[in-house]
Amino acid sequence: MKILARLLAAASGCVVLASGSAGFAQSIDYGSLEQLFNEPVTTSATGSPQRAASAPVPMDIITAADIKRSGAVDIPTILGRLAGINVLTWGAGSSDVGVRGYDQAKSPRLLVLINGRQVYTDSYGYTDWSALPVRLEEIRQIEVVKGPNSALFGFNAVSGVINIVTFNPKYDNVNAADVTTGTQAYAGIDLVKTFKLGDILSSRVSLGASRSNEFKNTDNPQILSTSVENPKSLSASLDSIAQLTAHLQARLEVSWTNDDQSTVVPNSIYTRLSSYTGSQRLSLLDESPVGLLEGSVYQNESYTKFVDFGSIDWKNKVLVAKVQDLVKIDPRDTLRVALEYRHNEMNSDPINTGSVFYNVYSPSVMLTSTITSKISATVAARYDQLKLGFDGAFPSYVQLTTAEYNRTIGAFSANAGLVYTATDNDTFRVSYARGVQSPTLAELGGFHAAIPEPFFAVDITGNPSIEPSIVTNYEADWDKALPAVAAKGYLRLFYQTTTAVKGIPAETGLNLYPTATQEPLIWFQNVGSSDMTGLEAAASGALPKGWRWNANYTYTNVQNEPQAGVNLVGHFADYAATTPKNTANLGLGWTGGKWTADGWLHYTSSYQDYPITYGLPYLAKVDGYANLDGRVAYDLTKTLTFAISGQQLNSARIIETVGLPVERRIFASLSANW
Amino acid sequence: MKFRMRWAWIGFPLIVSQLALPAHADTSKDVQVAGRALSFLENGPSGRVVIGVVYDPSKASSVAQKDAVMAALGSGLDAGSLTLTGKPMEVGAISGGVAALYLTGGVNFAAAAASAKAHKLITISADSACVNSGDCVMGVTTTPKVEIKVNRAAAAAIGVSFKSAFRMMITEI
Repeated sequence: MKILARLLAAASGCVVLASGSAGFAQSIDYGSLEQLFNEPVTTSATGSPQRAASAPVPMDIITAADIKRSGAVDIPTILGRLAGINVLTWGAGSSDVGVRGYDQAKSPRLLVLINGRQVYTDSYGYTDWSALPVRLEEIRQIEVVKGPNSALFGFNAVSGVINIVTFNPKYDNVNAADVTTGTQAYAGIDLVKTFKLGDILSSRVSLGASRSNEFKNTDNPQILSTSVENPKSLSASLDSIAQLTAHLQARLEVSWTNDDQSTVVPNSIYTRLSSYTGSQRLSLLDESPVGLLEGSVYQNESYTKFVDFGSIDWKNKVLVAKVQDLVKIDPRDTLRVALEYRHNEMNSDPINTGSVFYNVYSPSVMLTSTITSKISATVAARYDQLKLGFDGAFPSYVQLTTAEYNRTIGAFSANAGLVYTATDNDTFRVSYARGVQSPTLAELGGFHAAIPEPFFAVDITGNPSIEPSIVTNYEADWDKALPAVAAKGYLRLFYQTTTAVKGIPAETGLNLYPTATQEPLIWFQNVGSSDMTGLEAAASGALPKGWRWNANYTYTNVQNEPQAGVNLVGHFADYAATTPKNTANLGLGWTGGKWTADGWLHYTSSYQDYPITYGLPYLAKVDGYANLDGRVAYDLTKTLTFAISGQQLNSARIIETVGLPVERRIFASLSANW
Repeated sequence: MKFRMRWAWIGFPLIVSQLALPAHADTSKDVQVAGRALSFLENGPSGRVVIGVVYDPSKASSVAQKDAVMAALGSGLDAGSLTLTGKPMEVGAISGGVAALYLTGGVNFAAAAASAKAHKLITISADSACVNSGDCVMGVTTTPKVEIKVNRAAAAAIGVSFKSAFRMMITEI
């Protein structure tokens, strides 16, 4: 009751929005705040800066130092060493990342951001990790929020949020160059340069390029040689901050990527994929008398071609405008109010009958309150109103009309967390989260194909009446520090439900039967519910003489509750079968003088997946596997480092997924930081 | 026996949670964090700044802490964007020309606060009692973890305020 009364009292004071004070406009200076508090700082939990250890949501942070020591050439490899992260590696340049299970090809459950700007591909809600416009050298930290957080971030933030935070050109003078070569004829080059024009303008430019031979297909005749392509990627980005006045800051972020890869699509077909992305964002930040006011507008464009999957050419454009105020309304309470508008559109393909689009209006509010010196509470809520539409016309033989797209979807998201700091070394957290996984544009109508049969064709389409999935997470966490042994760890127990689970069109049955003049139809549909219980345990620490270690273990148990008559396998939605129950990681590192050495051991238990096939889907077992990664580095000078790293050192070839067998990889890199 | 083993893990967290060590103050870290916190003042100092280290010569503990602070500051202690140097001051000799005052334990906080207010100087201490009473603007401790507490009334009295992001991460009273 005391907590409720405290929150209500704070909420009633929200309308006053006073007590802010005039001063210099500042984007969040992560570096100074981290130095001050001697621990990572995050804004991904509530939108307000706070210590990661006191965040009201379960999260992990990968630091720039972790990234530098990782020996990785991509982000999924680094993420896969965390508790609760599943990585499906389809080829040398293609992976999908899942948080706490439910991972699949082109998984649409995860929200990936760069500095708060979405970088997942909105057409199907997936993340093309090879097409992210960010170089490893310019990343300050990667913040991984487990569980739904759509009350803060909106759609897609249901299994988790991965926010990639780059160095801020105003505060961080980061300059780096890296040249890497390796097996599979890997070649990569990165360049990051920060420029300053007095105190007025600060910019950072990054450029990157990489290529590799694709893994060899030794086992699977269903993966056609014509569907395999050597991955390559190019990216360029600009991040500029201008101090317009003492109170006002402007930030311009522009990026461009182009990549080619071979990958797996949700119905387990192997295909070449080419993509182009472009993004522009302008933000204004004002440290005003009523708090930190922020306005931003950005546009993402993507062009994606699935070469061997119906030659789909998807052109997707997203426009997002947002205003927000973040204010400490009294000594105990911080409030964030925001309003967001989103316009999202894409063409219908491979049968191009028009374009599907929606407009979303989303008010949201967050309040974090210090109840006592040991207890804090956070509540956040967001309402999304999505207005769907279709611009175009369907042929008369298709059982769809544009009128069916005149639809409004309303969805409510919520997060609540209570943090109890029992002692200096013990923090307990209980949290509740309700996330909304909106149907993607492809699921709503962007996908439209036809399967030719002997006497007729079957339409495969998006479904304008599909419902959003609702993911609800209940969690209890315990964070423990053991300063006596320079160690810390956590234990997290969670229970998660997903209603209105979405499935892709199943060729095992018709959704609409043929009429005298119209073709039969199958489409994306809701297929039932599922729930998951799980735990994550992790620990890390430092040992004398430069040694460090970390270990984690994750258990997840997914149970399906299909709708009557629904064959989950046919819809590629048997998540109980496709989620590994056990994953574990062990890391050991050492730094002495100019030498640094690290090793990581990863284990994923067996699971089932849908083998690549052009026939009806079925499940087959993927054996559990372990892989050993390592890196040894030597500092040639204060700015120059030479490193050799290896992935999957324990085996030349491991079947980790239904994609290509993953090969051992060795890299040699020369990097400069100044 | 099987039942006991199965449920024994419940007791494990309780045992481990008792392993916390007692806290020990670290003057050097306290001063450095205090200096870093000054960079979050609106219109705050920059570059090389002098901190007045206020002590009571009649109290050995105060003198010892003053010596420790001065030793930590040395010829210049880097604290974020600031480089801190120190100037010892007795309570009765507080004067301007410094960016802030660091009050050692044992000094007469009220008397020091009155002088500081007259010179519009921000007062900092590792003793939370000084902040709670309103004699200090800011309290800083670093062991076992960094804790910063700001007395808003004391800050307002000398006309200083902190940046929003900083305020959201500290304790205000």
